[in-house]
Amino acid sequence: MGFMTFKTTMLSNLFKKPVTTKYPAEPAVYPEGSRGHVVIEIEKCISCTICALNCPSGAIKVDRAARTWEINRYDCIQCGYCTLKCPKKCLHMAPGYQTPGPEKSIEHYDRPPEEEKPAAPAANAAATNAGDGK
Amino acid sequence: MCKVLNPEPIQETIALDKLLFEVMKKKEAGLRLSQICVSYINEKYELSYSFADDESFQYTVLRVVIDLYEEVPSICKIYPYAIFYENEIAELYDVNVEMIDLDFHGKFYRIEKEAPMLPEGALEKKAQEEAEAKKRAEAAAEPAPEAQTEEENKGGNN
Amino acid sequence: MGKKSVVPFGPQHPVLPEPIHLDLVIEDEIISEAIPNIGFIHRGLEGLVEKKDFNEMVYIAERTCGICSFGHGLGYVEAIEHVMNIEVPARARYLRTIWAELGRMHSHLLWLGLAADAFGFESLFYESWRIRERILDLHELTCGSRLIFSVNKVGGVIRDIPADKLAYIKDQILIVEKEVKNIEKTFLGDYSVQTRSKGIGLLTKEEAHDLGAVGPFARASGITADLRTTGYAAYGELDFEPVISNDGDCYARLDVRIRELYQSIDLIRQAIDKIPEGELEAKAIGFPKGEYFMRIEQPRGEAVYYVKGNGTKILDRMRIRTPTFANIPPLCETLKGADYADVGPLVVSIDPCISCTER
Repeated sequence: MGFMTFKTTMLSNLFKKPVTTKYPAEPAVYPEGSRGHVVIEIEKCISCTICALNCPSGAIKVDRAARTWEINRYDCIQCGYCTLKCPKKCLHMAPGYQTPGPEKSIEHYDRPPEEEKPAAPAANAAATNAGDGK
Repeated sequence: MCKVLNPEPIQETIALDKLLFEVMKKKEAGLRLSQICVSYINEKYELSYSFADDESFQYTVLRVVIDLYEEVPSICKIYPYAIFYENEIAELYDVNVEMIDLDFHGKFYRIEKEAPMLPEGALEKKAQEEAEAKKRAEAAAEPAPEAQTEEENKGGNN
Repeated sequence: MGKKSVVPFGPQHPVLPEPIHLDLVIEDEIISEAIPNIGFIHRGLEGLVEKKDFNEMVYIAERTCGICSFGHGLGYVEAIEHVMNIEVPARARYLRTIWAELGRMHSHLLWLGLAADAFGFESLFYESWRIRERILDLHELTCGSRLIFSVNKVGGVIRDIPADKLAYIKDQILIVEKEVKNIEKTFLGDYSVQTRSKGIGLLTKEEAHDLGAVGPFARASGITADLRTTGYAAYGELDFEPVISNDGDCYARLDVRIRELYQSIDLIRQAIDKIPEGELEAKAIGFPKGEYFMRIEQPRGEAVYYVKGNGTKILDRMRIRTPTFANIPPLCETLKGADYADVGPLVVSIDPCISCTER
């Protein structure tokens, strides 16, 4: 049974600097594996809508015809399920949380326009050549 | 290495009228009531009463399958702390549990919607089955002479 | 004969981490009866089973509670793996054990802070939570997030912990061990803490068994039941004994939880030394068909996970029975005969986690 057993810790804490960081004056430091927000490499996206169908909170919306990908960062729960399900692996988690704001906003990404496919006659010629080869 | 005790869980399916006797046997064996759970499958309730033995880590489950309108007796006279589980199943799934010691009458979680875990149309089905069961009970309780005269008539016709 | 009055305790009270309501019938400042009332935080998570498929339900299950979140994800995933007969590779099992023990440490340190706050010792509260910050930084380094882990999936785990991070974890928990030894002197040796916890809230071994107490609450009364002995995850290959005490009062519960902190540190060291190389997951083919009751040892006691599948990707039923649900009736029993000023520390000493209780 002791009296004032906390005195050594208390006195040493009096002379140490505080353990809290002066956020937001000093920037927050997140370790490398931190799940902060979802990042998309829009060039690789094929609008398969698998990420939108599997999102537990429904934060992702994909429009196949218009070739867009939208995410409501305020609804996202940072679970990382979309990054596991994407067949082209174009979704990643990056550190850094969504900063607060006065209203919810949606981030919008457009896929680059389709390139012209190579002309059809070249493909037909290749097929007939292959047929003759047999 | 620590000694690993992991017996397989035992599951027994029993009829509703044997419930109190089986629960009494578990109390006699010194088991602890672990949880009471209900599922709504194929328009029937499946109740699971689980008992745990803290010495051998044996887990026993009693399964009772009942119709929607049947009344289940409360086991709180044997295990006093069963009142929480029974209030919960009465509120979330509208199981007719009778004779609970501390009955919250549907105000345990104070949810506005009645029986929120049941799918659409299940409550109406339950009321319908209850009415049919009542009619069957009344028809069975009708006095015997009517049945006898019917039989005589049938015998006469044959 | 004194005058009887009914005093409501909660749902808002400075000592409670989560809302619970108790109607205390008191007579001359001695409590004669306590009637509990819960339902302030019911979210109906089990009803979401109708809409989400069984892979997404992991994310729902682990958001049941913020303090014991890894345990919920682990219990649900283990239940589905039993139903689908999936054998989890050894490295995944050891990783799950390491994360489960880190979760236990952070939960006990959180509770120590709340217990100190209940006695009125606020500097000790801040000191305990400062030690806990080191464990939360370890969580963020290995899983990506401080409280909600999201590393479990049906068949294994998603992320790996490479060898240099494992060595870093060992160094950090060595520092945590030294700091816990420092505050243990105050928790167990200080005169004011002992006056407020010795002899308060006595629960004998027979009462604990008759009322269905689980977890450290029951182990402080002498019942030797620790579900890690059933050997789920990698516990079957590690060496430990359940921590028990025979006193049954608030001081015994403090003692049991502090010794469990040391036991967790030892288990993490054993797991890091024994972890084998290997794959992280086993392929999960098909859908669950069948039912299973899985029990794991959460920081607060025995948690039961019941899943029932019917061969499609949507489950029939998922039920979680959390340890605080089983600990509320013994709490009402210990409150009888207690002084009115001791209600705060007593309610906190069972480690109430009401958001798990009501899901």
